[in-house]
Amino acid sequence: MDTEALLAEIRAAVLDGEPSLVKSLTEKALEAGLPALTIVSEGLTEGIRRVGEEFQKGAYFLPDLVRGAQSMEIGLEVLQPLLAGAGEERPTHARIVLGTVHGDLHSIGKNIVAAMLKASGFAVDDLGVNVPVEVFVDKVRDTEAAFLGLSALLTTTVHQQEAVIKALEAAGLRSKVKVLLGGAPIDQDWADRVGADGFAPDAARAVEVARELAGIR
Amino acid sequence: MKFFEVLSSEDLDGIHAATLEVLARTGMLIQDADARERLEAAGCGVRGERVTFPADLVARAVESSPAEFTLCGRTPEHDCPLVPGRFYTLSTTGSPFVIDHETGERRHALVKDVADLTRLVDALPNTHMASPATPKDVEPEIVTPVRVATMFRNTTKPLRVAVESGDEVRYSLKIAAAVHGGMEAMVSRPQLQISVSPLSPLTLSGDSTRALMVAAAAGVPLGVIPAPIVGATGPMSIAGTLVQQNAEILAGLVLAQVVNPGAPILYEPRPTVMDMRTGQSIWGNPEVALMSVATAQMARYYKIPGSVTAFGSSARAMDDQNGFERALTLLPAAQSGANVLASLGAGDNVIHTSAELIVLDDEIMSWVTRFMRGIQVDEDALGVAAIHEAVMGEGGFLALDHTRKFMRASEVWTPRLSDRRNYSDWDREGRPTIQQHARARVTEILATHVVEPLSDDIEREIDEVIAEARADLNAK
Repeated sequence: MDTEALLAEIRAAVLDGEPSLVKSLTEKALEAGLPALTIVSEGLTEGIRRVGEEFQKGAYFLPDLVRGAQSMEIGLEVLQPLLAGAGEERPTHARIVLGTVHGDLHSIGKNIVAAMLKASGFAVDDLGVNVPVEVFVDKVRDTEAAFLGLSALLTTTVHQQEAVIKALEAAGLRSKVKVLLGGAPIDQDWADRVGADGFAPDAARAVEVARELAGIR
Repeated sequence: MKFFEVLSSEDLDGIHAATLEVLARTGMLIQDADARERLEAAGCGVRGERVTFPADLVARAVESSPAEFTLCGRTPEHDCPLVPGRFYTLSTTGSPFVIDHETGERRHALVKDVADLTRLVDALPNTHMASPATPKDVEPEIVTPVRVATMFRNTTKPLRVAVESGDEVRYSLKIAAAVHGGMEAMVSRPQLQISVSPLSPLTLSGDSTRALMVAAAAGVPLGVIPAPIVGATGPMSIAGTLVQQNAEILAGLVLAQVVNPGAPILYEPRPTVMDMRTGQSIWGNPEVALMSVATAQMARYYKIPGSVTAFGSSARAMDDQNGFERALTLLPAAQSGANVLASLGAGDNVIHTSAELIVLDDEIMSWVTRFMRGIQVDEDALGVAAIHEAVMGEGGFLALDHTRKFMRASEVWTPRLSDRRNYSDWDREGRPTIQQHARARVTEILATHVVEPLSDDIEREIDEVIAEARADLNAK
């Protein structure tokens, strides 16, 4: 079996945003004897990198990004047990934990940031919405994530961002993680006031800020 | 009465049928057990938190929702009866930022801004109802009672507040009752409308559900205000988003009618589109204007009052983009027959509001109001006699009685803000922009306009309500 052709097909399926196709091609690639890490780097990661490129060029848009990220994720799900078993990890820029704060159910902004970060080469743990302070802290501790992104859209829940930062301090974790804030009522002034490491007014900026803080490019 | 329409009657039937399918099959996530119990008793299907609605229940609920009601002023001259053909403007709600009209800088909204902007709405001729920004200098738990009190103090026009919890409704209504001498008086002439937002897609959070039920039980005008974003939290097809928002509103309407049959409901969606490059939710796109017209049609289809996005822009500055987006959104919205033309004063996709934008929107609304008046055609207006007199006489038209009569009846619109001077004069004055004219008007109004103060007794009662809210809600 032509393994180069298989990897090319995986890249194309990620680019086209076809999760089921990526899943079956990933399984096929494993059967063909390709190492998991190779499939990840030359198939999935390379595919999502091209998605990001098309987005930068203005040829791809957010729906393409989200589908590309989904397709990559489904391939990773297949490969993760093998990687873990071999004690290997796919290379990523950094791990980021994301979530919408307690009391707030809004998710769309956070979801877009998640998709863009994945497309940009970050490992993303999305905790969802209405996330209690302790859950953020525990996840940061367990994953040793380098970044924590907090989304708040309701002006009545914005102060939860401050509460999370304080809880990280109390847990002795504050210096180990960079905290980024997002949401319509958020601005640099608020981020400075609560001691966050960064703030982003939109998803694209969020990726830029994360990359800057991670020392990439 | 002829309204501008973008949907045919087949289209409306199609949207309604699709909505019933969504409500019967996908249903609404309602995160409050009491609400689910009541809906189930009324005939809904309930599986976990998911509630499905049968068509006959929806039909009965629409039937029991009043076709007309009035949003009242402190006194009747500012009343806004929401009846077919009448339209009123509403200033924008919830902006976290304002553009300071003295410094031109963007900063967080404060209580002082809620006061000033409300007072501006009170003063201007084409701003009929007020809704508040979200001030930063108040504890979040009592931000709504505080801004409601601030609005009551700064206008005698009708008010509206969008709320996030049952507590916010309770305390807002207590303040309204204090102003009007009791709940009964307040409900019989409601100066405060409550709006509750389902979360798109198809979700009513526990807090929002309880807010809806408290408002419905009280019998005050209640707006159901979903804000789906086309392509992100609603379908990418415009018709699909119209279906989804319709389902979200009707679900809220059904719950309100179950709690209190006959509760006055306002069909009040705020759909926007997603910019697929940046992820921003956009106001000022052609689709937003289209959806406003369609929304007005849907409200009429159900025979309940409708409220639509009518003002707004993505622009950050008061430039041409701001101008054309506002004008192109307002005109079709006004022509659509919507009873409430909302989001007056909103900029940067509603992230900020400003005194200057409110004044500008008052001007645009003045233009549009004249346009909506149309053309008077009767014997006098046809002017046969006037034409003969002008042509056969010597003075032309300027000196005619006919001219003075029609001029004094405002046949031709005169601007407040738009600059009509000749080029040289304008140049000599430093080439003022409309923003500068708006700024001058803001300064003038804020320096001189006085709102009839509330009595000391009422003020005392309001302070007590806020103290009670502070103690109660901060403790939670």
